[in-house]
Amino acid sequence: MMTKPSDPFALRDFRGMVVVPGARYTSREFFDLEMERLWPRVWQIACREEEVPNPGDFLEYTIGDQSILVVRSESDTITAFFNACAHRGTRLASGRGNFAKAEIRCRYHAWRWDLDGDIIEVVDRDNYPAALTDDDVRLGAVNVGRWGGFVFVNMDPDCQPFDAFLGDVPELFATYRMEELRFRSYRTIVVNCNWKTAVDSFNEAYHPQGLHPQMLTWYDDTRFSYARVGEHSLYGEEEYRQELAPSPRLGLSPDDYDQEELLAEQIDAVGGLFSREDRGRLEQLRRDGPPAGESAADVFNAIRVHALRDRYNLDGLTDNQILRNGTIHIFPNLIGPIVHGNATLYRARPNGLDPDSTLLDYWALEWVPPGQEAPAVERKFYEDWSVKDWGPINNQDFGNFIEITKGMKSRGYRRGLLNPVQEANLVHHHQVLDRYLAD
Amino acid sequence: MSDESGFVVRVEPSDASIEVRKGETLMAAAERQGYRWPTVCHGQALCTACSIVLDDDLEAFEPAGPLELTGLELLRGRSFYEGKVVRLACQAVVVASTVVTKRGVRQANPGETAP
Repeated sequence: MMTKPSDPFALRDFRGMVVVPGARYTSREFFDLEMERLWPRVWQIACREEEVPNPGDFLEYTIGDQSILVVRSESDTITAFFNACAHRGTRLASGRGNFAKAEIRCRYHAWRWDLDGDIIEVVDRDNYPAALTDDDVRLGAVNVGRWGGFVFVNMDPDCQPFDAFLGDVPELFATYRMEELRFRSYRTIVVNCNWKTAVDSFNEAYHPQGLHPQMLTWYDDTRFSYARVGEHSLYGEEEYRQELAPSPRLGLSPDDYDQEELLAEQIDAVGGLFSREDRGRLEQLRRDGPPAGESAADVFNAIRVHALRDRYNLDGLTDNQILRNGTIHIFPNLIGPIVHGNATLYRARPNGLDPDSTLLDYWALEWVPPGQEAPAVERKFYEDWSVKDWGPINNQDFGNFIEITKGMKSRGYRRGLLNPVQEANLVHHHQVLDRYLAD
Repeated sequence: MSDESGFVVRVEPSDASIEVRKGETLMAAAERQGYRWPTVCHGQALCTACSIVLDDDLEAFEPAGPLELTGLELLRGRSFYEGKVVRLACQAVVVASTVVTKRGVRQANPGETAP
């Protein structure tokens, strides 16, 4: 049904490319279709396993007007239920916590279930007909899939197998050992745009030359390759070494730029990775330049590899593999860059039932070096993202969301003319979305 | 050139000498004289690619206005610029002859207008 030419939401061929109607972002009708056909049927990330570490721990995951309880039912078992009492529908729990005595108890009439969702007690059950079975009063089950430390849920009893949904992602991202990542920070902000607008903004490197031009003096925005992986996509480099060069868009020759400046920017970008010893070597490189016969990039990359090997066990990986990185989009709504040792991930969800408002979770995750404990992380929620300074790049992205939202509503905006190369992953996102909406 | 008509700004390390008219920004003067100045945003104070490091005379430019200050804010936290006096050549109006440092400033090749 989504492919009729008259359909205002249909992706259309236009001069040999796929164009995307703005109504897919702005209209209530399309948003309602997503609420009816996408979210109830797609595997989606509810939380990280570490958020429910102990038996009895629960976390409430919300999407639109739906609430799902993710529960650590046993030390290595995670289950999920619709967050509604089987008796009168009362929401059973909110936020995060622990079900004492391994029981879920409704606050209304005190019915009780075990952590598998099986009934323990219907109060005054003898008032009910004897024909009432335990199965009639089970909690509504939600499917659970686990990969990379993420807990995925799917509300559809007939959903596709979790492994089929992930496809080649686990193999492609195996060396990043995402199951070993732990939160370094967890922030959630409300942004005034459709959830897809937020995903889009991290799904291409076509926009830095427009929105983040200050990056181009040290960031080659043209070097990425884009690929589709089943329902998902990624961009990055297979064999990555930092060349210490600005964007070719600046038209500078190597004599025109300052290696020390580029080096400083790269060190800033990699941030807290380096030990004191590594920092000393970097300072020396900045001060004295590289030894004869080596480039600053060679030395910088060697120090990065050393820092990572020193901190983590990376046996079996070549230096080039260690320097590899990628920005992954896990359909429908998780996206962000991943390197060995850490990841910055964004999860974009509709904020309630508002097509123009998105809950954007902003997660910094990193490996915990051997012998250290994962930090205790306080979750922070920002009803208004602009009360905090998120750094120039995030500020530019978050601030632009509202401009996109306003512009897309213009009567003069007909459809998105996406770049067939650098925005191919966005087109793919819409095409996969259509598969969910169509059948 | 006398102070009546304008100023001369020498740009290291290329040793270019830019003649700047009163009220003119350094980048505009350089482009007028056929120099190619690194920029992405072409004078909007958005990209910082035109930034210059002031070598000595800090009084050689008019104080930065709100637009330039917003642009300079993008350099905050970038360690290369720590402890240096930096201005955006696309905004900084010259009021005295001086010397600044900027890599990548050179005479444009024939037919080359902008990066």
